[in-house]
Amino acid sequence: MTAVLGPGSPVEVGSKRSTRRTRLGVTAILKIGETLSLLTCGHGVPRGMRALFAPGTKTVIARLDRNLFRGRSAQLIDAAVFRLLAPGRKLVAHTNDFNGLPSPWTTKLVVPDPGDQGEAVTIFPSHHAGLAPFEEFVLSFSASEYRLLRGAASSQLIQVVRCTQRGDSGAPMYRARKLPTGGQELALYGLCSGAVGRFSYFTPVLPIIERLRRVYGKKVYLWVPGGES
Amino acid sequence: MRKYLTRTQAVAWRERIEAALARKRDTWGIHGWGFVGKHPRLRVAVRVPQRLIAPTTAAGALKFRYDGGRLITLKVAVEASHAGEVKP
Repeated sequence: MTAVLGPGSPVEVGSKRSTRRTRLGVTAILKIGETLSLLTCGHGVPRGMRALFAPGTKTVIARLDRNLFRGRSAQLIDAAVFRLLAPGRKLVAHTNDFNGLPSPWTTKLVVPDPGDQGEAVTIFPSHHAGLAPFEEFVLSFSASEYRLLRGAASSQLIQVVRCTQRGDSGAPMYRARKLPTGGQELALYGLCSGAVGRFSYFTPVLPIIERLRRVYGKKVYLWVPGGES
Repeated sequence: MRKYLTRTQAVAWRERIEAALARKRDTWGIHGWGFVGKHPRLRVAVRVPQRLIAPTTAAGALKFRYDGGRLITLKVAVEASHAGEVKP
């Protein structure tokens, strides 16, 4: 069972004036200063569309605050931050019942490293609600794909075999970490940026968080329900 | 000519490799690249739509300078993405 609104949940970006919607996945819920925000990809947020909806509803749950995929080519990074509104904050719910699977709620981030090559990752697809997470393996911890995104955003991506489809943009990728108690927890690694040919690409989340800390000049961290760290 | 990289070399040389490949992008017809394999046998693999039997210019040796102008020659691997067709 997944959260009502949390990592891996599908959301739709659009505007109040138009019926056109684009489906994206929630990468994470962030705390920026004292504000709860939602992180997803930036390439999937068309110009003029600043509202985020729960799929199939007309209720605006969040508003675009910053799209890091706009601006100077050398500064681009595939990420967008939406500030959660009251209806969105209400939807951010937590359940401990993940049918034996590790919870996608985490405060931990992975530093991309050559040691990631060949290691397993867990992806929570978002093209439909309630899809089961699945496993893939890192083909490249640092890949560039010029057909996918523009400028700096097309570099230093995580490459896996093609396993994503339309509607998965922004969906989170995790690596499992062993706990001292013997169990496992997930640590956030990347967000889905798309696919070219037989490969899918994910943007590492750690550089996004570091950029957001500089942009906002505030503390930025992964928020989990019931915890402030 | 070097073929494999260690994890330290991959991290330290990444930007130089990216810049050198940008200069070869049109000549070799590549649309991306990445590190493949495992430490200490990491390789630079360039991505092309298809591995042609007789390419006009085959991807081969990549040259770049590092560490006070030391010339490094790297043999790259070629992987097909099957992203779009190559016009004859």
